[in-house]
Amino acid sequence: MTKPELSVVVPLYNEEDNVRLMFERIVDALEPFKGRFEILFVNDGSRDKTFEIASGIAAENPFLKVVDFRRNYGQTPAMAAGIDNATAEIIVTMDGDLQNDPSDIPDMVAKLREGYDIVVGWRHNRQDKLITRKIPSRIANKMIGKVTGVPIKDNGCSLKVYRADVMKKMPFYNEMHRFIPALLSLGGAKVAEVKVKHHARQFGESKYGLSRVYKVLFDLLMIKTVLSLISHPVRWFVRIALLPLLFSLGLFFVVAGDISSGDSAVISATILIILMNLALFLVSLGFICELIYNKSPLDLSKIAPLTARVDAFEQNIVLDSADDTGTETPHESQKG
Amino acid sequence: MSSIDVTAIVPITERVEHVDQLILSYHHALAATGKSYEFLFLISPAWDRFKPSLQAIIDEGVPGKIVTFSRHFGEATAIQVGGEMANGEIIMTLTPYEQIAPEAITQLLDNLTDGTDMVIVNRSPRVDGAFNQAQARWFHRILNLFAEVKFNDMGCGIKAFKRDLLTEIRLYGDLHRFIPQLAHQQGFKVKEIDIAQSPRDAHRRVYSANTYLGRLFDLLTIIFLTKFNQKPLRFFGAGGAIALGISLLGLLYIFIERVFFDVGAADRPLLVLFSLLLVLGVQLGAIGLVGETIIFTHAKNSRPYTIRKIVNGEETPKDGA
Repeated sequence: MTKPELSVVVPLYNEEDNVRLMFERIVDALEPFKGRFEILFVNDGSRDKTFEIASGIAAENPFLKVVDFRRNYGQTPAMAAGIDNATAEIIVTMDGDLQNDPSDIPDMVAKLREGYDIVVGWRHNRQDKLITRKIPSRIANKMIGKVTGVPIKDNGCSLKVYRADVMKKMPFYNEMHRFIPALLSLGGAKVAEVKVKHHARQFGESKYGLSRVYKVLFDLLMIKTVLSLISHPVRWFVRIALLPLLFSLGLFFVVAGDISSGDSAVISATILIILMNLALFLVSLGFICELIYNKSPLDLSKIAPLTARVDAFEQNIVLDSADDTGTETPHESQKG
Repeated sequence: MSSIDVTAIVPITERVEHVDQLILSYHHALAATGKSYEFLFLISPAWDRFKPSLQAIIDEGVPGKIVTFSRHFGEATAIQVGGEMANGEIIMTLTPYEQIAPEAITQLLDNLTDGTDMVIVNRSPRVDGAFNQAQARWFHRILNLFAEVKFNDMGCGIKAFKRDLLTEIRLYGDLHRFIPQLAHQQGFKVKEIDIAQSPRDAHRRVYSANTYLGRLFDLLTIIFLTKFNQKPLRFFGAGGAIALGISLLGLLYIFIERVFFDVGAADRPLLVLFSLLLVLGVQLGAIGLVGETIIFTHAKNSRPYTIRKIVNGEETPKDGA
């Protein structure tokens, strides 16, 4: 088989009712790409017949690959496995529960070809419960946008289209799928947002509940830290250290002006030293992070040339890989 | 490299008893199964004196190789090295001292059928003294409180598993005891079978305080590695958030007393206590962030998943491997 143009990655966890329908819908939707696409179903340790049904379909359709996990790892590792094993230049990821509509894919691919590195779906007409799903998700999206500097309206939407060479270089684990646009912007990727259809669940239960609020908070803190790697981890830790530092300096003047008052001066001085200590500790950790990144195999500057645009030059020009794109990302959203 | 059925790894690193006799019994038991097999003896320099007798056994016709380390690396490393040198489809780890009757090791191979990736032994019924049993019971009770999957005898060194298991987990330090947990985490099916404890295994085991402390940290390590492997911030952050929460409440209390009830704040030792708690909370969280940085920067080299197989495709090799 020649190299396909498009790889569609679908993580499946206990979706035996949906697999066949899912497959048929994707095939129908990708009629314009007939013969030039592949589908990767990633069986995320399902305890039902998902894998058997999927391999049954794969036996008749050589363009369907089924990746079988040894156990359940979660949505992000499943997508990571699909992305690692995809062979096309363009990768599409989507949910396995039929809530995303594959008919949106051709439009998103067209958008990507306009010159974007990632096109994310926006479920503007979301068919989910308001209190437990939509409102928490809206708050989370606001916060993610604020923290990462990439204001995507719907980070939770799994329907996304990527350039494979950019995506394959990104670290991708835990529940990172929420932060893909922000992470890719680290490498200077151009992000576009396209409205997509969204259906209510037909079969089965929703597998991801409300219990992840505190997880999202920790994840945000984590993302903020790793995003600082591209520039200066020390600066990010200095910013955290600023508060105890200022406080201890303030105390210094209190102590200095009040040296004769016995016990209270000793207590103020103790707290001064404790807070100063904390500030120093935090700054030291910043340097440790700098060291870790410096010695690690991850080199974000390798992504920069992939996303850089070269105009009016020869195609095979050697790009300056020291391109520091920071977190500023051209961002557009398409209405309608 | 010709492929054979079973490689029996015998790490000679910690304790040795009746080794020649025992190896011959293992040899006869394996020969009786009709499978092809080899022995790998991995010797720490402290146990060098057993080399001639093992060499004699090999000369007598027991298929095997002897690897002598130049320093003491420990049992986990010995098993990892043995796994890399092994030609067998199935790897067995055998102890150079008798834990179960040597003839019983074939039961492990019988149980290592299609659906099972690893077979371990629960020495039961046990014949050793009440003290040994009590300390073992407490160790497993604590472990099973946190572990995702419950096993009853981590102390038995006799295990059998499929070869690809060792490529997915990494052993060092004292992690060899926890191969079953690590294997389960990577999605392998582990089965525990009951085999009677050998009377020779029954002597009283009292260890040094150092050893007990070591076991305690082994427990913490395995809980950390299996539950928070990819998310250090959740491990440290939970503790940090508790400390931070208490300290903020305390500081608020002092602040309210100062403003509304005119109780002095600056001369209260309580202020120092809550400041220390605040510092502790922030420090724990910050350590978690350093952990996250390590995971993030190395994520591309350590895949967050293991694949059983791919229908209509082949697995792409690991980056940088």
